[in-house]
Amino acid sequence: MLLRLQPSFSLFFRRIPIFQNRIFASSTAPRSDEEWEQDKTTDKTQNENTPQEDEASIASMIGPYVSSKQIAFHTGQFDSEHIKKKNKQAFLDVVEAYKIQFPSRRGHVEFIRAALRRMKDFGVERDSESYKKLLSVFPVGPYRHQSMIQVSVRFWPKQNETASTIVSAMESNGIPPDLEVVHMLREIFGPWAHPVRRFARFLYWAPKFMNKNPYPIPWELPNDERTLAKLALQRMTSTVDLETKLVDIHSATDSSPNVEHPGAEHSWLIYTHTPKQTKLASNLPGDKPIYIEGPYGVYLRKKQLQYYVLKADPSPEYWQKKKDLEKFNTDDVSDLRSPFQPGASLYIPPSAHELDDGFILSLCIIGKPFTSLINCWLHHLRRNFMPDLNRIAVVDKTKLTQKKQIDRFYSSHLLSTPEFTVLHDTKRLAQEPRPWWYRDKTDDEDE
Amino acid sequence: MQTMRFLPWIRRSYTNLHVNRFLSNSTKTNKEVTQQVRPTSEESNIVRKDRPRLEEEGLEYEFKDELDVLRHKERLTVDSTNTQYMTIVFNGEYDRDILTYPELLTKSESTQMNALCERLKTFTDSIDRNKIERDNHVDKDIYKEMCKLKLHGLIIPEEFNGLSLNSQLSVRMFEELAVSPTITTQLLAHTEYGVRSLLVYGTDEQQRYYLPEMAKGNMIATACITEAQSGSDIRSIETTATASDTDPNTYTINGKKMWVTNGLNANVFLVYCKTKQRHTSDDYDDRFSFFLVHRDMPGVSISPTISTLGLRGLGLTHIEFKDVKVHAGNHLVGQLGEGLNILRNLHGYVRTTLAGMCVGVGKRLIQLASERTIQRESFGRKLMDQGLVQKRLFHMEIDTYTMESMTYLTSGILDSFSMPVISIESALTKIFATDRLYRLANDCLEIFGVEGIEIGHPVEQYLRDIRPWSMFDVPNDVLRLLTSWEGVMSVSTVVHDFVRKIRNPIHFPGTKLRHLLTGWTAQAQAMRAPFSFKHDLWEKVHPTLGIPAKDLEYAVFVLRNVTKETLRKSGRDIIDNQLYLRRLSEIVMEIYAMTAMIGRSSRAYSIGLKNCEHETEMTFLYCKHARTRIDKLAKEIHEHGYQTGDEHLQHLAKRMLIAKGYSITTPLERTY
Repeated sequence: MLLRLQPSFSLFFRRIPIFQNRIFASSTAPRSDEEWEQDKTTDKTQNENTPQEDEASIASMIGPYVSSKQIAFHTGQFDSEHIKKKNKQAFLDVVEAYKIQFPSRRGHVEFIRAALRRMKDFGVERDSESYKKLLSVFPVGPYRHQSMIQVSVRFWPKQNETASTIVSAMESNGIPPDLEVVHMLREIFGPWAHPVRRFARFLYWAPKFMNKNPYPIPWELPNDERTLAKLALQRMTSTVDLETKLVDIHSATDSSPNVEHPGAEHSWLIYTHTPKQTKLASNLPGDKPIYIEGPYGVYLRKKQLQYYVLKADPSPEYWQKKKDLEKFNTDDVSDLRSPFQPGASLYIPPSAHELDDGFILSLCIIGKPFTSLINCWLHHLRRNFMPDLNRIAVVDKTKLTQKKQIDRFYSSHLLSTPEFTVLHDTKRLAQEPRPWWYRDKTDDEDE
Repeated sequence: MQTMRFLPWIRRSYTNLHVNRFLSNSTKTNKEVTQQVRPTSEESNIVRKDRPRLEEEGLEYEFKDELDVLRHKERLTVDSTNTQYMTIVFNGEYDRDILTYPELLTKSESTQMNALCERLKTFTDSIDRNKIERDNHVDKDIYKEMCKLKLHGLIIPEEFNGLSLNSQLSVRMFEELAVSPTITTQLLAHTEYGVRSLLVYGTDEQQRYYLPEMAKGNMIATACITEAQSGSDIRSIETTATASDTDPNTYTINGKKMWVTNGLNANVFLVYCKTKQRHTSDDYDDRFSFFLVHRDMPGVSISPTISTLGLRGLGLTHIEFKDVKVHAGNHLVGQLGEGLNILRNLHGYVRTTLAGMCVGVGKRLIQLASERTIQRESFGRKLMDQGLVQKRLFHMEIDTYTMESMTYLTSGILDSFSMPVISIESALTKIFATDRLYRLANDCLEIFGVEGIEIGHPVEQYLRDIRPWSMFDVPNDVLRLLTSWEGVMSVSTVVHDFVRKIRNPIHFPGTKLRHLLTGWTAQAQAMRAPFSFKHDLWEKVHPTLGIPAKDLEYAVFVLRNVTKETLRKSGRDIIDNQLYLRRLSEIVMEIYAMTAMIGRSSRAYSIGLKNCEHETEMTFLYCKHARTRIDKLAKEIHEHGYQTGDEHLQHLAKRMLIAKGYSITTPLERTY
């Protein structure tokens, strides 16, 4: 009897809020659109002033013991007008001043919270030394746990949480972990305290993530444009074709008599080439042009670089090869031929440079957006690595001069004449049917 | 209370495994702190006046490098020796400490090491190997350059103006140098025989006299051990040092030493002699001593250099000592009659360093081979896309990785104890490294094809240069026997009673019966569950390496059974049954290799080194293959002699020797 009634009992209990241990779909009422929007706006406000919200959530977690008045006072220390230049040294000085002013470390939690808030202003949010300095504000000894019970019931929550905040700030700023921080934390809070464990997890995972990238890139990017360009080209090409070589030219030093560029336009360029690409170039037909395309964007962390591509149209052999691949039947073992026989039944796929939209012959990054540099690249390539390109016409499809062309077009009287010249890609765009979402920007401005 | 519940997990979990190794010694327990607060005696009061505690200084935190303190002060000042890891394995025991890969360098030391390696690299790049090859001679300029880099004083302490590197670091330097093998072999003889013997056994006066000169490179040392009649059997040498009747401190050395490395340039020879003592008998071990003999002493005559296969420019000479008078106080190294012991210890160092050199060459060969496979095309595709070439590359890499792990594990043991005993471990390392390196060079040559056998090609040069390394201190075959002799001897102390009983079933039927029954049950167990978790090795490594750890444990299990089995089969003759002994040593070598690899890759994965997944993958594969190889060897031992072919083999060899050559008639011969 009881067993049969059980479902109805449980259903009854679920109606009562305090017995709702899980949230069921039926228990949430459908929400109106207004409510959704309200939620969104609150989200937005939350995102805007995170520090306050952060403080609030921490306060709700660990009690109202963090004095906002003191935080304001210490924040004022960082905002003080006496600090002339806000840099790392200034930040360390302020912390040092606090340590001298309050040898008993009164209100150190508030001070650290204030400091964490102002780190970005001083530009030290990615500097491990400043974080260590902040940790050194904690007094050594009083917050050390004496037993595991003190850890488990979270003694000194305010201090522990604050240290955890420092650790999480280090994590989110991607600071490589080191043992010194662990030592400090262990000295201050004891070997099994929560901040220590948190940092231990960080210590375990951070190096793994740092080395996880199959296309490695330095943690701090170099400032030099030229090394950046080298890095970008290496990243793009080195795993695709292992034989790739970079050629680094400075137009002032490697100037060739055939290419003329005005003295003001001296700059550098870096391009790639591989033997495979040379071979591809030698098989190109002489009656079809090849193209220089670009600039395309490539990102190194947050830095964008522009690169150019030397491309040829895919040959009929390439399409034949692709067709063969479709026909290539692995299940058919009737007529096998070894590679020593003619017509070997060995399928060799097209190389990485042969793509449907063209054969890539070279990549290039130039120091300044000058057409002469592009010419220099082509000339160098022709002379040293791909002599076969001498018999092939090259069409420049770059948008380097486009802005100038457009200006000239609008300022000239050609606008009214029917036979004005259109740049190659513009023409192609004009011929193609535009997608439904396509709107010209100029139209917008007119409206 | 939630945390309390998870504590046992956290203790065990891998998150803290390696982190704890850095930290465990850093925190003082609270007890110590309170003891510091309340000093009991007057002395500590005085100490407190001198230097107040950190907390009292103003709540300052001061960072000390705890690891450094730990290493230098605690471990090395106490007389500490290691367990003989690879000897107890024969007995089915395993010291789990060895799975914790030694980590002795601090961050700053490792950056220093990298800087030094860079300098060595530029030095080795500047050496013209072809010139050395042509002239069969190393130029003075190169030695001068080496002196500038202080390469002669790698392990000499700073007070004598050396670099004072520890064993791991000096091995690393040798690895970097090994790209030019001739010079490195000369330096090996200088450093590991000459300098090391003085460092470990020399008196203070000897150290003060010799070491500064050696560090400068003015005095180059080498060892004279081998003789015409005694190669690896070092007990049967004939060079004697006899005390003169008038002055007991003066000794006269007579004898002829063969194949002395760098005899051409060396100024000091470490001569291994027999010293007849009145109170020692002939079959007793303390009748050998080492003497330092200078080149310019009257009675030393040096032959012109001998040309060799590979290692050209080594300056190999014969040296004859005729009535050379030396003084015991100045020229005797160690105690009188301690020679055998000294030699054993020196060999440990030499073998480890030699293995390090093999690693260096291995890395270079891999570099050459990978360049070639990327460039070369055949059958319409690159070599690197072809399976067989990939297999060769894989073997090259995994062998290099294994020998590297073994080398640095062994040298880590050397560094972490004040009196290390590593004769077996270093022997295993050396066997593995030299054997595999030869195979590796062979693979590299196959990849290069005919181009590689052209005289002057680097691959051909390396192939010739590394060949003599396998017989550098003691030939590999002898080392194999040495290893398994040690192991079998240690087992025999435990199982001798059982062996006696089982070999006499008439007298002890009970033992036989029990053995049969337990044998059956053991077999059944082995079929069902591979082995019992006696050592729980998985606890000591990162969880990703659980399966290799099981393989290792299985190997230990098999080795114990197999050793017992060989003892049961051949009884007292086991010492002479070299075919069995070789198998045992192969198994123990696999065990050591697996140990080193698992420990290393576990460490690498736990601290997240670059490409650590690559390492764990290689460990997986190696352990898997090693397990099948061990199974095969164990099966061969369990089988009867005629099944394995051992008996046939020995029989055929005997027949061949009777014929004194190839005894078979040609197939074209007719009888009728």
